[in-house]
Amino acid sequence: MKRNVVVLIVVIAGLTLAASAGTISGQVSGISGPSVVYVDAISGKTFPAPAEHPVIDQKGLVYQPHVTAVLVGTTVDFLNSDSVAHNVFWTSIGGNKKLGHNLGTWPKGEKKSFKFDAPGAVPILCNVHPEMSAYLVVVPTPYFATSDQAGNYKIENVPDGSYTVIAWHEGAKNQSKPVSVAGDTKADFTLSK
Amino acid sequence: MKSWSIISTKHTGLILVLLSQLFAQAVGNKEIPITAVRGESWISHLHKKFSDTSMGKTWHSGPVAPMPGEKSTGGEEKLSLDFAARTMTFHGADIYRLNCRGCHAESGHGAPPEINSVIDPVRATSVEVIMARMKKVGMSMSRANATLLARQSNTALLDRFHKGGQDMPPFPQLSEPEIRSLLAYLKELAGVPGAEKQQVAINESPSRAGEQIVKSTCHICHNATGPNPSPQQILEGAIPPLSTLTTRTNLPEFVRKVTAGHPISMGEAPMPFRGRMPVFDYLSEDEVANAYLYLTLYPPQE
Repeated sequence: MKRNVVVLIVVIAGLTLAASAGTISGQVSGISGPSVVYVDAISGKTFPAPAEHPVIDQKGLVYQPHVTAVLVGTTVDFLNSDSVAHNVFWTSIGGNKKLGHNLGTWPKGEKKSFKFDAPGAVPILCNVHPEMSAYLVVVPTPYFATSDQAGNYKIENVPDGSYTVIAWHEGAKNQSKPVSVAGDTKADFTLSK
Repeated sequence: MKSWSIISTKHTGLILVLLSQLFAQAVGNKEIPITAVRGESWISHLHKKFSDTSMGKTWHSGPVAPMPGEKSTGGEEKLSLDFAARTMTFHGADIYRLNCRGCHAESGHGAPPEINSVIDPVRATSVEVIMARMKKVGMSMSRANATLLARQSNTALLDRFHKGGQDMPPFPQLSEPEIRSLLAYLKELAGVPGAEKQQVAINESPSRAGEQIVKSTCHICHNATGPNPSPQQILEGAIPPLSTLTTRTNLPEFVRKVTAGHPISMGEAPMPFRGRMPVFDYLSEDEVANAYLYLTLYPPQE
């Protein structure tokens, strides 16, 4: 009897979710390589940062991955997997130079963490190796996705509703558009540098 | 020149070593005493076979050694009679040549991915270079922040010299004046603006010059001590230890082998072959003679 009630609750909960949550998917074109597509800030709503730390690695004199998106408030771990010294710094977050920071230099196998409390794109550089660069995009909602190389993206579990959706790409101007999500919704973007 | 004996060079060298140490104290340099080379070679430490290293694969250090019967270009005729009695004046470029070039090549670019370039880590120590780079990518940076970055990179670079890395040996044999002189040259090599005007000359004793060549270049492949390999073992890839070199060869042979290449006996029925050792034609005959002198005065230790 008890078990049946639990099953019933799970089924109802599942049905409710299915009815009110959808996806936003589509393609970002006009540029090549990974883009970040995210739902802009929703007034009156804040979201708890995830406990897990995404990792940006330095391996073979390359930042991996090249583009990472995180919810505002997330702590990111910067790892050094190379046997040479690296340095991690950024001069601004979302164009705000006051938020520039120098994480310093540390040896192989060690990591340094940083909590990103301000939204915006963070161009990450290495002073020792000028060809190394990465982008961290700090976004205001948990509804975001990084596209594949061809620009295809899919944001999962977006509650039905009306939002402003923004596409970001390295070196391109952001593009935003209103999107009404009802179930699986399509939104394509064309960016230019 | 044939009349040289080890004994006479030994004495001249010893006197000079003492004199140079007195001189160093007089000018107040914190001198690092000359010590014998010891322990296994760096490639033994890395468990690498010579044939798997860039040195073993590319002969990038100089021309191929002559085959038996071919005339070798080097020889004793260019050796100065008084090589062991003269203090050498070295610039950073010479310190680089004796200590770094064997692996990082003349250009400093090394042989990636095995041996990294020195250029970018050196450029990272210059405030001017950092500011110019940031300006170029449209992210202007304050001089204070650029100075902080440059200082961190400088610390990391000095750390490399003193402690080495996973694939690079440490260089505890280099004194502070030698490191300063080397750093100034590295900046010139890496194209840091104005670096060519900052070059520093330092005086080195003959044994000191020899010590740098042996510890920084020869010891990369040759163990300090060990059994003298037979021609058959050499054919199979054995590298003679440094402790056997001064008995395997006399001074002119040693100098010719290093600077111009010289055939070596290899195999069961010993036949002369070209050998595997790269030719270090960028070392002068006097410098190589000083390496021989150093190996004689400071016999390699286990």
